[in-house]
Amino acid sequence: MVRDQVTMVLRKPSVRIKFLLVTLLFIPWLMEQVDILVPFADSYGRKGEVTVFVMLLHVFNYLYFYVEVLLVGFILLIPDIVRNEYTEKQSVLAGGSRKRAAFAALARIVFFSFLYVVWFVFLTVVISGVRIHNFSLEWPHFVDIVIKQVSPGDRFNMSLFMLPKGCTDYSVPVALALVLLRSTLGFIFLGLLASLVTMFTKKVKYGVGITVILLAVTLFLYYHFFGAYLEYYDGSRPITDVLVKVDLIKATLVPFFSFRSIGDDFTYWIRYGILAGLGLSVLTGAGIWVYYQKGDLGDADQDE
Amino acid sequence: MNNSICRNLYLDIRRGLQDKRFWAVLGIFSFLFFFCIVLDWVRPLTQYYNGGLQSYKYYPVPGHVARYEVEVLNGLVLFVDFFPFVGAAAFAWVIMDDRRQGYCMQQIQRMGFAAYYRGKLAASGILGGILGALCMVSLCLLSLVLIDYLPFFREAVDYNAETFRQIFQSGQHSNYGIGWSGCRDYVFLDGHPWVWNFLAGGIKYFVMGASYGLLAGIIAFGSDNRVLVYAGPVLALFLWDGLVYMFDRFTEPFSRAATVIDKFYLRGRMTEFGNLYHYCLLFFFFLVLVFLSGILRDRTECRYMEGGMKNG
Repeated sequence: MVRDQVTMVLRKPSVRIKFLLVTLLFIPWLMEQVDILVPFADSYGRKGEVTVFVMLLHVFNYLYFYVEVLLVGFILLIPDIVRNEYTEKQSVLAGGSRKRAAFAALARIVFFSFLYVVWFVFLTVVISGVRIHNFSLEWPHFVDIVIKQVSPGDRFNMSLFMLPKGCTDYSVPVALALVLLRSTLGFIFLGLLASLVTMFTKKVKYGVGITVILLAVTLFLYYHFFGAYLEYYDGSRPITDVLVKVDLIKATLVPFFSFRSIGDDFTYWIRYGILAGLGLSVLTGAGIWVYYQKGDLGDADQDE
Repeated sequence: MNNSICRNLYLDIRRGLQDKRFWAVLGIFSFLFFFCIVLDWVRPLTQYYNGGLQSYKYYPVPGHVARYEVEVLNGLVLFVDFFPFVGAAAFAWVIMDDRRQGYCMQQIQRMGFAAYYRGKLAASGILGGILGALCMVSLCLLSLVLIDYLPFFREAVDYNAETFRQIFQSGQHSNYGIGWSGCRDYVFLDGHPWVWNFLAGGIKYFVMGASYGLLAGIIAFGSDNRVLVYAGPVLALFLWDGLVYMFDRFTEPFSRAATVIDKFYLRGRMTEFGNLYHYCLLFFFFLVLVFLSGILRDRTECRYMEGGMKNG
């Protein structure tokens, strides 16, 4: 059943067109990032070159990349992956089991989120490989220099290269695996959330809308308030401590896809991103499972 | 007369303006602007009233006047990248709904497909432009009301504006960490009347909204996917800049060509009000869309005639 649903979605012309559009969007952006990063690395003198795997880490850590390409593409695909009523009804009638239908729905979203990340990993490796020709698995030395340039007390420091301190404690393959796992879980969570909202509201546009709202809130807080720090002066506090900072970063999508500052601790934020992604995915997945067992799977008027 | 393009255009515009979706989009944008302005003012206002020492009242940023707030909010990634959605949300959905309900066939029988096609695209463009301009007007009005006219805000604004003016006139702005660009912006905004924001911003946003409305209309004629219609202009904006980057990269060895190509970036110039290059670029983008709609007309007609009514 899962294979049938996946095959059916992949064969849809609209899905192919959307994948093509996002790929066309991704390629010039990636080339631009390569053109920016290579001279950036060269500016540090003979301190190593950008490698393909470091480029992968950059692509999947750069929040603006997600905003401009990856999340836009995923939002476009949500109507095609979150629900297919005809197939659901057929599978429930044929299989006689809502559990199997629920499992198929969850597996479909997980698979497409994974496929989405794999596709862009492939594109990055191919395109940056053609330009960079360096497939070394070692950390280039300039990464250490960039990280050490940030002062320890700096709460919000964005760099061209958003890998925070602590990342070089891991080997490149391990760091890459952790980052890709975090991003995949982030996409899985968004897909499951959109699916859950679609089921309850019976309209795909609300599922898409909730994802757009989360993205909009993230953008606004992160870029307009310098890392999602809301500040205000509280007159009731002592004069030396009058400025209050409210940290809202964990209420945004940033921990699922990137880091706030190059001064962050890589291990802490990767662990938070993975655990939060896993936890929220399990929660929304459980909601979908319960809905499949108890809810209405009838022929609702789905507004596409 | 009753079947003329102008008559049907008038009816479509009236239909669009009377629809709750049009005003809902404007309402949502206005609420977002209101929310942004209030959040922006939490820190400087609490600093002014609760900062304690007199020195805390001085907020060393040459902004937080209504006109500068308009500039700041226009430059947000949130609005720049998602503004094309405004043009799409104005009227393009009507094209899809008419096809789904079969109403389009009645109109096509009365006036012919060519007139129907042109009329609907024109309506989508005009209403997209009106909605874009209204978003700009809403932002200006909200900024004025919340910042320049509200006594609570006005006191803090006047204090900081006067303090900043003294610092700037004394030439000591660099001692306070205020860069030249900040001073230049303040001087510019202080020296130009509000009509600059309304006219330049309103006209620019009308043209932008009309372009994206036209694009959304073209997509609506070719697709039954509502998400693609709404997201299409946003995607087109990103793809346009991507394509310009590719051309820019390949013409890099030829400095004159690269200089010309550099003017074609859409997104980077969206926040520039008085930039004539941007107006020329918008006009060029609009012409490209008109040309594209002409090319796609026959194909769309085949789609409509063969497909007939689209069952929802």
